[in-house]
Amino acid sequence: MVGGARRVGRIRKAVGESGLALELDVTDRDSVERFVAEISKRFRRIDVLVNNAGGAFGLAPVAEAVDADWIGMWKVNVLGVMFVTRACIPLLRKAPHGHIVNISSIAGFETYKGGAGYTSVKHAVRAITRTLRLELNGEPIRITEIAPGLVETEFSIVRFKGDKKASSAVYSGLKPLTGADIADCIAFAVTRPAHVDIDEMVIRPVAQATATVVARKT
Amino acid sequence: MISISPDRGLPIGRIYSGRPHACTFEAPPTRGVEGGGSRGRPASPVLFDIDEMVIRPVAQATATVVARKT
Repeated sequence: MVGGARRVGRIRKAVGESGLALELDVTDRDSVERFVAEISKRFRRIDVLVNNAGGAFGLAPVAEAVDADWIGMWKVNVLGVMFVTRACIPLLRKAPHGHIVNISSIAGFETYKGGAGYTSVKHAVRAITRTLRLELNGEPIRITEIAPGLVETEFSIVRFKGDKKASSAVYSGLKPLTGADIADCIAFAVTRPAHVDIDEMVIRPVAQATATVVARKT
Repeated sequence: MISISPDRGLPIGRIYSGRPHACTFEAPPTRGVEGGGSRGRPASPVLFDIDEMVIRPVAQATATVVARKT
């Protein structure tokens, strides 16, 4: 397993002693190309690509949209997926059965007030995923979109720019998903028989009906 | 509640929001509840809702786009 992230120390913990941690900034094409070149040199192929990097910045309505937030979201969520996927496809084609897993969100097919920046990029990830399925049709490469609802990670801390009170309110009164829950779904998808493509999985905490309808215990 | 469809999932789980007893699926991958059934914890059906899952053969991109070997 190879993990790529800006914070190499953290990704090293995630991949464990048997894995390889490399520096990667998905918004930087040169960084992506260095990352994939290193994988090519060491392993010659990629069996599974998980495009996990992403995030939301801010919760401003469109009328008050912050340029830097929108540009940042489009770079990490959309251009990042394109840079990494484009660079990895040649190595995925060298595997007997390649698999691309894109981590999107329920924001990829829902909308909510203040969320246009994030929902638009996740709609774009959904479009990229579906397009890839058409473009790679006929090749032994599976394409899976994992669309989680509320997952308690650093997501909201980043969205609210370090405001812990605002961040914790997102998860208050319910049991949110964890990163491990989503990892378990990815593991399920990639361990199906080679002819079975888990096209989409939508995962929510059971208390969450939609992006904005959440049953909270007070 | 889980909806599994070869074509498109139906969001039937939404009417049960906030009622954990309604989430009674038993099939995989429910072992992942509470942060990691894959680590040996027993499955619990109450916290983790696979809302929709769409499954296709790898050769099928859409209902009408299918790669066939001739």
